[in-house]
Amino acid sequence: MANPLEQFEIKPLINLSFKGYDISFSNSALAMCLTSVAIVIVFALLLRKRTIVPTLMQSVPEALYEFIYNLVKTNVGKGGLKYFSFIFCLFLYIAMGNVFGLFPYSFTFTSHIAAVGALSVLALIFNIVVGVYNRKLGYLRTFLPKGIPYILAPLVVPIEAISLLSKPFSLTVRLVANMTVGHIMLKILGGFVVGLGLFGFVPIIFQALIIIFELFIAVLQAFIYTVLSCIYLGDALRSH
Amino acid sequence: MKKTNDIDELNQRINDFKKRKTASSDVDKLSPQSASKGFQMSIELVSGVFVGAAIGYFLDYVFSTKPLFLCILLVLGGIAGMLNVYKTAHADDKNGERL
Repeated sequence: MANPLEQFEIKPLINLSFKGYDISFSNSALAMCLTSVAIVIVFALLLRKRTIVPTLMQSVPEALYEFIYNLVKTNVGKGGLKYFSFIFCLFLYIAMGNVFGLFPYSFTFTSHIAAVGALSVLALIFNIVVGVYNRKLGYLRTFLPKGIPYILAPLVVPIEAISLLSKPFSLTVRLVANMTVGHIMLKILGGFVVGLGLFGFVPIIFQALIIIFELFIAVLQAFIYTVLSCIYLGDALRSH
Repeated sequence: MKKTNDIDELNQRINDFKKRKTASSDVDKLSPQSASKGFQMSIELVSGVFVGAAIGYFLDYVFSTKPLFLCILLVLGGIAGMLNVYKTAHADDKNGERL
């Protein structure tokens, strides 16, 4: 049976280096580029003929748009609608990346801690910048919520700081774990199909079911990532 | 005499129905969504400890005070993890059932 972890291997496609750092264009980078291009193409095609009464094709992106719009409105509040485009991009990018990874011969970049971690850290920095921009010094209240005596500050401030910094970590681990597990499972079952010979049809049935489940998980995880990003953004905009 | 019997019987039926209803709502709670929520909480709990330990290790590395900060921040990280779980659960309560 082929190694189930082989699919996560990063292979450089175009070798590049900058001052001793390896910045090669890898299969992961290619998957990211293709995902971004796919989003643009799908949206451009679906929204080609824009009418006031949406056609079936047009209603798909509109439904997605409204879904995320309402999500931002409930979780961040009306003040958060300014940052809607960021959240919408985040959702589309992760959802499309997850779904793209399910195609044969493609690469799931959302199963790599480096890729998702960078995205999560970027989201954290974005939250901090938005918080400081909107609340100025009041943002420091995040580290010492109202009603806590100042004598407890040496204990509460580090705890709140760790709590803030662990957010991207938990976001990353959840998405990466879900994606990795699903793909390993698919690969192992795929190995069984070959290994069992005539009885190989049994794992194929399971695999068909798991692929449907994985599609659901791919979108669900993108949704959870987006909801949590919204909640964190809401925390940054509001005091406790 | 018959009337009391009727009322008793009705009471019995209402109680039975209530029991069945609570039993079925318990079953409803065992959904994949709850499992996902539980998984999320466990990650929140662990991530606090990990991040605390990482910061502690980094501070020790910078100030060469091994293992002072690691010990302190490991404990604080654990507390931060619990705080995260509380916050996530609280946010869920506020927004109704969603994840």
